Amino acid sequence: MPHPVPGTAPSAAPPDPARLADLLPAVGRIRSAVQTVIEGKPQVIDTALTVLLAEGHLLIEDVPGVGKTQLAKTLARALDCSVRRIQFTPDLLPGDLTGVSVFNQESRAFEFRPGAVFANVVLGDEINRASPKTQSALLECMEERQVTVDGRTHELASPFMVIATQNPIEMEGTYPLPEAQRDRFMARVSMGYPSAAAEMEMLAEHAATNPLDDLTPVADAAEVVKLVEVVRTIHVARSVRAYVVDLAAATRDHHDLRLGASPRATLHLLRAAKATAALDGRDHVLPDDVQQLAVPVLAHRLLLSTDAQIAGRTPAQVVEELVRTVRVPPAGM
Amino acid sequence: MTTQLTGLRPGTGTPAPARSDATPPAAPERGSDGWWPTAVAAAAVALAALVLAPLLDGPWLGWPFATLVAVALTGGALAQLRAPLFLVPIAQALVCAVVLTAAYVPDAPLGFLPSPAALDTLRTLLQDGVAAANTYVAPVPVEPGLLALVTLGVGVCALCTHVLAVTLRMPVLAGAPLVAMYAVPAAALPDGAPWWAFVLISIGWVGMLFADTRRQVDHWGRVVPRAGYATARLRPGGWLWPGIRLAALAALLALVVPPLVPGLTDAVLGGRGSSGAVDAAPDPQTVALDPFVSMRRDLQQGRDVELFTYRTTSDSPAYLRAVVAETFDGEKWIPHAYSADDSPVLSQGVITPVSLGADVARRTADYQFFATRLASPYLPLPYPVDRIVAPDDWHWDLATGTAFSVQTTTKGLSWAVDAVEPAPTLAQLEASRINRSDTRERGNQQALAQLPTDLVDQAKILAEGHPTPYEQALAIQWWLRTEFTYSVDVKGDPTGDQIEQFLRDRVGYCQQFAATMALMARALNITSRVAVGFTPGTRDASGVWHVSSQDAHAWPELLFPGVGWVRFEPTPRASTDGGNVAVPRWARAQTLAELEARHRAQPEPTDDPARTPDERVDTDPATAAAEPLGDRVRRTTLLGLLALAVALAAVPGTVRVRRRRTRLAAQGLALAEGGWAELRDTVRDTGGGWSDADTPRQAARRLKSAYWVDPPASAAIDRLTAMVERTRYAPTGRPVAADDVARDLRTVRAAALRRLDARQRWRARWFPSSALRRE
Repeated sequence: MPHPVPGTAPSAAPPDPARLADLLPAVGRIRSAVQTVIEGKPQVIDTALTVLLAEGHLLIEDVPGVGKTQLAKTLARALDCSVRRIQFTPDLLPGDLTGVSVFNQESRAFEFRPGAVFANVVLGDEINRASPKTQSALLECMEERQVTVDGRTHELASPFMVIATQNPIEMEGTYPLPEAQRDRFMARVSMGYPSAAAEMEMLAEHAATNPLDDLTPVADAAEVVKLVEVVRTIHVARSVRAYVVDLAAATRDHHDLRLGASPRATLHLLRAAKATAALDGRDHVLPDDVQQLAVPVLAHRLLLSTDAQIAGRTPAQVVEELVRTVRVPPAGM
Repeated sequence: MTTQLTGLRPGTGTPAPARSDATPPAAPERGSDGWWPTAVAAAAVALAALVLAPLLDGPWLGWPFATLVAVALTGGALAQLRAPLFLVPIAQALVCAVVLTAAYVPDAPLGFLPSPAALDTLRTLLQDGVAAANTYVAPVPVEPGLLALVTLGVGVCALCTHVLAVTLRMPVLAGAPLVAMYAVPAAALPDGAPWWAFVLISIGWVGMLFADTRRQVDHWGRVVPRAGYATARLRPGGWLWPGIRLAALAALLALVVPPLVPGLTDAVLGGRGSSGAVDAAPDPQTVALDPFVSMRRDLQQGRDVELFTYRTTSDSPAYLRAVVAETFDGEKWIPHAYSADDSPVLSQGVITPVSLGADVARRTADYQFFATRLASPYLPLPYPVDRIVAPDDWHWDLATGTAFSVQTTTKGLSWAVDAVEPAPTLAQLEASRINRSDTRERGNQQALAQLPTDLVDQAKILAEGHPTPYEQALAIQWWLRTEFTYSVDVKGDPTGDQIEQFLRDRVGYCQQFAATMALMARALNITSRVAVGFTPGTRDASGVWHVSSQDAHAWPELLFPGVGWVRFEPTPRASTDGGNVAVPRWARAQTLAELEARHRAQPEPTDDPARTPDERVDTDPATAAAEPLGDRVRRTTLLGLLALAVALAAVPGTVRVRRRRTRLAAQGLALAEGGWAELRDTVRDTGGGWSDADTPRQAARRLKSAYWVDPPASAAIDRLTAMVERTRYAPTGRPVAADDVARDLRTVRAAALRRLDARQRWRARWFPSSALRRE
């Protein structure tokens, strides 16, 4: 039975208020657990949770040493589900990710040995240090949530989330992610340097012990699946859908961009907005949810024009500009 | 950047499917109103313009209606193009100026450009029109100046009506320009505006209300109340019954209001008609001119019988006298007792003009008469005359300057006259004083005791503030012309009782006007008499003047020592050619106004040192009532303009109040959106910024952080924000209570107004900027 494509299920039935009420405590537990390790980054944590509930994949991009891997490991540890970590290196092969068929001498048949992607949470550390060939091996896994090896298709676990970290492409020994793969990440976040106070607290508390060691799972896979199902039922008004489309369309005609947002980006933005609404305890999406997620969801998919690059513009700036200028459609349209 | 940034998106042309919560459809764009409101407003102005018809004598519809159409098309086109509101009246005013220039300034650049020189010409023309309106009694012959004035009036009315009814969507106030149009005939016509004028105005106004009701219902539909909000069905096209109710109410008002309002005739309920009791028509072959009775009969008879013709060298022939009545016996005027024994025959020599001052400028003119059907013992003659050529059996009465025969009549007679046309100056007339030694003075004194008391009192009232006899005569004449109504449908002869009735009813015809003015002059010790004869008649293409029975007339002549007998014209009637019943040059309204102005500039000592004559004039209602017609029209116009200005000034505030009520009277989504729009307008009216790109939550944050820190207002904003968010974006609508919305809006508005100083608060209330924005 094929795994359903996330977010495509119609949300005709309004969300059950009781289930929506159950979602908040569960999410709160996960958020609190992560915050015990990752301090001073509530927005990044919320974005990560949003992606989790929206059945997306998260790309964490920043310079080394700011806690990218720590965030991924913490989120994975907070969930009582299977976790696999892949350290991407230039010599990593696609088979290491997807798995390989091995000939069993005893049974005289080929047996499939699952790769690292066969887990609920897959940590791809420094994903842009692998070769494009290996990076592309993740394409089918991330989009279709299945792996095809030697003509046989193997479904991945549910929930399935890839949390990848990468260094900025200006760093040595990195390969830029292909556009197709960037488009498959629902959101990209940057950790940023901690504030002075947070860094002082980190030095005081984390110098002797690793807080990750004390972290215990607060939710299991089944609970996460239930949360995801609740998010799917969040209502999206027609005007909000129109707003999402307007935003995406605006990126395609913007003079500073040579590649705008794809329809997949539109879908990701809407699904992420539904998750944000659920995290806020609402049964409906607001345009504010869309605006809040526009930069994390859209910016990493856009390619700047040469002129914009020379002018020092960034995709995030373009998206922020669009959020300010694209009018929210009136109600009832 | 492309159109996406303005919120447009691909596929917006596809109709939005109905939401699961049965959200009412959004209002269509303004442009979808089409030309319907513009056409209705233009039709209303066209109907209103028709009420000017009784004021004008001649074809006049062309350019005024062309201006109306041009102004309406301009406004309609700009509405279709969704031009900014302030551009509409500006463009319409420009178009109005262009049409006026094209119509009345033939030498304008390109024939229509309103250059400064062209506008100067136009201004001069309009001044001529104002002067004509002030000079003539309705119906006024159409001349270019007057036509330009009418065209400008129609254009301005069309502009104001369009702005109010179409641009600002306030058809109720749009009735103001129509009423202003109605005020013109109401003030200028002796009988007030005709009854049908009120009906025309009402039809136009009701039409605009009708169109506005239809527009509103077509946009929103009529909610069927039994279904409630969630399942409300909308029924476009249900505009008929409100319209019918409005029309019925207006028709009822049209019937009830006129009899109750001064100046509106009650003729619609069966009043005076033009045909009254007419004496048996005489044989037209033998028309006899009895001084008073036959004249009235001639005026009342339906047929217009030509009596005699004449040729003359005069450009403006004088009135033609036949009989003079000098004696008032206490009951009626008695024609002079003509005696052939005391009167020389005409063949005896040249006639000396009677009582014409030696210093008075004069011109001569020749007249050649031929009587066709006139059979009268009196010769119709201009006055005074130098010489008459007539058969020997005609006598000349030295006292009155009339010719008569005791043996024959004028039937088939020809006679020639060398007439004198006196042209006394204003100074000569002003300098004339009553000669106490005049024998006629004593006769007047004898008759004075027999004059009706009311007439004497009224004459004295009118004379106040007018120091000279000439000015007093002018005051009497213009009081009669402006306060009385002309009608031949009056029974009886002008005896004393009839004069009292005339003063009471203020309705009569020339005979009573002339008799009354002559008596009032005598009450002021001015020697007077009544002349009976004919007005100059009608000139044909060959230069022959035709005088008919309808030209029979009576007028007073007043004696001014040093000048002579001077004709006045107290009868407020003008015939079709404008020359038949004409006010003499020395008796026009401007003359009286100039004299009064001169007195104001040089106040003369009076009996009461504490008060000047002008103060008495201004404060005396009876004297004030004698003001010229032009002043009345001007005052009425000014009052109308003032009322219009007040109405226009109240427009923005009224628009806001009306919008607020409409918004808060809605239900469900419309109420929530209306409440949110009301919050937006409140912010704008109180000087706050508002971005349409903001989400409700962003707008709320901006308001709370930038404008109001008042906790109750902040909480009210949060409630309004939650309300609009839920109605816009939530899967199921939550009931919205209009009272809660209104209370929250009041809280926010009060907090916003507290931030402002008194001047800003006043402006926010009466000139809210949001009122000028399209919804």
